[in-house]
Amino acid sequence: MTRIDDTFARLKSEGRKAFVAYVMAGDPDFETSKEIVRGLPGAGVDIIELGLPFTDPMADGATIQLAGQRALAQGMTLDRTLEIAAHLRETDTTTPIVLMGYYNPIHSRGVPTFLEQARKAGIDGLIVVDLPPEEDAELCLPAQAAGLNFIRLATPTTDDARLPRVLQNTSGFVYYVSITGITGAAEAQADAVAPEVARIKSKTDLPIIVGFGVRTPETAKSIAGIADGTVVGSVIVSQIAEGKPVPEILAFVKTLADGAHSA
Amino acid sequence: MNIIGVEAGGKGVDQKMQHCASLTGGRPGVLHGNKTYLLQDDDGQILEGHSISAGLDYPGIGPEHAWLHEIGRAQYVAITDMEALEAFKLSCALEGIIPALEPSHALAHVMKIAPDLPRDHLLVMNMCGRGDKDIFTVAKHLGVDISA
Repeated sequence: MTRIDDTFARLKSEGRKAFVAYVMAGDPDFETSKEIVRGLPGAGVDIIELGLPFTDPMADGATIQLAGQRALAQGMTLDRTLEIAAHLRETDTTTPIVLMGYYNPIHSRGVPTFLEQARKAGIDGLIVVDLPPEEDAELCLPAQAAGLNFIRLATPTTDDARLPRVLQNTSGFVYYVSITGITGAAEAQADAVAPEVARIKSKTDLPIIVGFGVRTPETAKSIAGIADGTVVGSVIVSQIAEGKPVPEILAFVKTLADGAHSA
Repeated sequence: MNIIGVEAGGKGVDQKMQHCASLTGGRPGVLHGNKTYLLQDDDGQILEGHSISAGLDYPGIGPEHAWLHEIGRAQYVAITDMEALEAFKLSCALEGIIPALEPSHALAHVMKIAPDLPRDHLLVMNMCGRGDKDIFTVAKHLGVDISA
């Protein structure tokens, strides 16, 4: 059982949906980012998705691309990303942290070294969007052997023939991408997503979290209502980009969390 | 038969990394769905690289080249922007053929090695593109004004 498994078990027993928040590590700068991440659990965030900055983030829209560029311009690295996680672990030992990013920085570090360092920093799961199931031997299986969840994305184009392959070595939860597109795109529609969530539910017992295109407390509520929870990223990153003070950012996150939790 | 691949050496294959010679000056990584040699920093962040030729201005190389490089079947060398320009000019002047800047790199390497080969040595170079698309780039680098 990872912290992710524990969190879903607890939420289920409480009859609550999960609210997952994404922020980019090191955005707008290292110190502020540490402060934001440490404040997320108090703002109602059940699971933190921590972005690992990468120069070529092909699954992300402009908002998160720019966040990665800001972070890298501030000298963000894999080591400092893990430091942000470790900083949260000094005050919070229960909120799961999922590291979300791309494979090359991990490959460059070396998988065994990375997994050891990630575990030590208090990372609970990985979302690495440019590693398909065909490459499970690279990172997915070693990560699971090291006690980390490996969370895979399913999308509207993941058909019934492909779905078993996607689900095969997924653990923790399934991240359903509500739209055919990149992050920060058009508003997700609960009535369009519901049958898709049901389709995936019929093939797995894992919780299903829906993300991409969730921008308001109302959408967070409607999307969380038809799944096990929802992810919000780009609108939070936009608040950070505007240079809002940390308490204001966290208050904004809380409105989204309250939306999801009211489902 | 020897196979030689010519990479874009840009402003020189050195620590400044102002080139696109992934095999000569990069190391293995994963980008855009393939594992190959990439221009990257110590943290696995992709570097911009540089080449006078738009078609070679990419921080990686086709994975088949990476494989041919690793098994030693093909030999990879780098040609700089300036050397490619010289080859471009030579082809225009001697043959009336405007080569693309991409194969101009290969031609520059031919110019380097051909003088030392036996007269009956067969050497095939792939002139894979036409250079009318590149005349503005070349004019800029040669300081020629063709705007009028």
